[in-house]
Amino acid sequence: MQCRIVSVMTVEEPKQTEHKSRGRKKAAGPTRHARIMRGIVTPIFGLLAVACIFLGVLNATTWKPSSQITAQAQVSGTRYIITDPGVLPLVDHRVTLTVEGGANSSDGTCIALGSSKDANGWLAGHAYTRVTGMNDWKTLATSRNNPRGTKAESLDDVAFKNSDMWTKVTCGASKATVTTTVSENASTVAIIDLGGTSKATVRLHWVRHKLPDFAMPFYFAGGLLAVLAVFSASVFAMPPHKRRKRVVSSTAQRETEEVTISEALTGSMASLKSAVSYRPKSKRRRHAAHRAGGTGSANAERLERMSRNESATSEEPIVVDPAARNLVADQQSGQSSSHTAPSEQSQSTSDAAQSSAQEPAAYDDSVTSVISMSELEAYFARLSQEVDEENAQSAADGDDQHDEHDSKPGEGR
Amino acid sequence: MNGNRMNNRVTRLIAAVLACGLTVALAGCEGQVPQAVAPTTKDSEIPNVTVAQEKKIRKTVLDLLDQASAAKSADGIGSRLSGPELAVRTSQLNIAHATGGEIDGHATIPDKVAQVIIPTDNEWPRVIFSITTTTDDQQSKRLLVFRQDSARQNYKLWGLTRLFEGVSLPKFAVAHLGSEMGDVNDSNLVMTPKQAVERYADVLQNGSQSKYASSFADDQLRQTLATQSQNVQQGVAGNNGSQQQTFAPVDGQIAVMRSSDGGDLVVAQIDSEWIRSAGDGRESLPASNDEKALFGNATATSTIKATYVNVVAIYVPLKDSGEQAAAVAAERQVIQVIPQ
Repeated sequence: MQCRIVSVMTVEEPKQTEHKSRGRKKAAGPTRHARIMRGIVTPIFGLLAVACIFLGVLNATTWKPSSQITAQAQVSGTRYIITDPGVLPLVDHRVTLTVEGGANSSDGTCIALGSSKDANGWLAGHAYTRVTGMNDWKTLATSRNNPRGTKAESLDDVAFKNSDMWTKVTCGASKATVTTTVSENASTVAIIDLGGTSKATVRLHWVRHKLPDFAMPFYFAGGLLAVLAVFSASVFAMPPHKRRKRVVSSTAQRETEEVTISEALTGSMASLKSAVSYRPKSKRRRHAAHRAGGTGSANAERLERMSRNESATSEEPIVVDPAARNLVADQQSGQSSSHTAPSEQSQSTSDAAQSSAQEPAAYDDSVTSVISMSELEAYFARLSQEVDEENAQSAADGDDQHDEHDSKPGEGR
Repeated sequence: MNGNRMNNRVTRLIAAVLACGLTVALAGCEGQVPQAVAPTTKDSEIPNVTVAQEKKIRKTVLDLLDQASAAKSADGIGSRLSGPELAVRTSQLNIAHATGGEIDGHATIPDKVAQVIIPTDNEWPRVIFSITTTTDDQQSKRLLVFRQDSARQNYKLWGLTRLFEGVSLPKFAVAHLGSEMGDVNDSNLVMTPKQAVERYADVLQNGSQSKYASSFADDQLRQTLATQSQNVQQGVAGNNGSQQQTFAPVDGQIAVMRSSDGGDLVVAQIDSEWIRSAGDGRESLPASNDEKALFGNATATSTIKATYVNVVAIYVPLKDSGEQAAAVAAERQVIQVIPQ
């Protein structure tokens, strides 16, 4: 049994390497492929992984984004400066606004916080400068606006710092600072009155709490590359057929259920092989030349039927390789008549042989050109014989059953 | 061949490292510069002042009034008073000064408020309605109207009315949500606010003979005036005199706030002139202590003219509500008494 399977395997192996030579871009031979994978691809991935981790560490330490952001701008030409809504909480909720260069008199330079509509109402009819955002992390963007609306002037006008509209006012002599917390969707703006002069520096300072994380993508990429390096050194370096073989040969627990498992596996592998269009067409033709429009599914059906018959009675080989001419079977073909005589096994064998003989009758081309039906029958009969022998041997050591088997002729091995 | 492979590997490695490095440089060490985003709430949905700001404004005004009451002087109250209340308070202070006594009890304003009605309108002039609690001596609640004429001015106490007994004010939105100011020509009501003030002035003048008498529910002011007029009429008729009080709304001195029921609460100034003539060669004298204080040492003649400032708060309901307009609060103060 073992050598039978081995012969099947050895028969198939050359075909596999031939397939590789046809299917792969790299030259045939697993050794070359593994060398390329292990020698070139793995080191590249490994080095890239190291580089990524290194960059990630750099981004987490020396290249870490700073949390203190200070942006400023020089403003000139207008007495009033106003921030756009949304500028105060631009980087963080908590902001410190400083203005330097306003009127030098006591309370000459003032900053007030109020709602956008109130501040714009105050500025009606006056030119002003808007702080619209940040050009970069160190510079504020400003824009000069012409007067809108009409000036509201009356004797009852109040000073800037005395207006009821502001929620917070701070004044100073040529410099004023206000620190406040503004939520993101609020319409709170800062309005600055420079007093008489019209040239100043406006500075906004935030302490960032949400820092962008540039290290994590690098760590992630490094981890992925490391995994790829490991895979390319191990799994990807292996030739595909060897990987598959390992799956097949690893289920070699044949001691007790030897035949059923192995035969089921080889049968399903055979059906898979014929189902997957991995095999070049010529191979398929040769393998299934007697089936005109037959596909792998038909083959699988046939094999299933055979295995079902088999499980009820005795074992039958599912892997049929008519291309391999079995000299032993040829020898036995002459003795096939004697095998069809008495015992149950022979009867079942003949049943099996008959059923197998019937199966090809279902197809149009029932007889292969390479192997004749008598050869097939002989082959089946001999195989079932051997299986019985081994079963008997393993089941009862001191049994006398094997005498019966021993008496059967035609067992040359 | 191995050397070539080595070179190839090294080149590829250098390229990979450079690629990583460039990504870092492109990203920038600080990340992307944030852009200012406009807020999603509209300006017209934001209350003009916060509750804290209203409290601060009210406190400033009340402190100033307390100072003036203590000094019995009207100097400087113009910084925080305007409109009819300026006239009323000036008169009250002058009377207190002239009599040497305390200011009129009607002038008391409690420190605490029961309700604050803050509009969200963007334009000027802006008003705030504040309803105080009852006073310590169980006088009725006061309806205060603060008004900001322009962005460059501050809020001033423009009107003060005392709520009538037993009236219920319409409902308004809570202060932090804000209400909406109305227009003098709001047309979805039983009558426009401007018409309401004019017709009410006619009702005050003509009493039950006014053709608009049925448009307004009866109220305390009408009853008080009717009683007063009756009494004076009796006195005047005794000496063949006459008396006539004419009421006229003052243009532009009106504040309208839309309630959440749909009706408008209108506060307006109605000036009235009361001319009393004594017949039979008699002198016409001031009719009350206040009038007397204002009249002072003037020489009485047969005719006397007393000018009053009336501030009335009228609730004008929706057109289809089936309700009558009704005055809910008022203040009345003589501001000038002169012989004619």
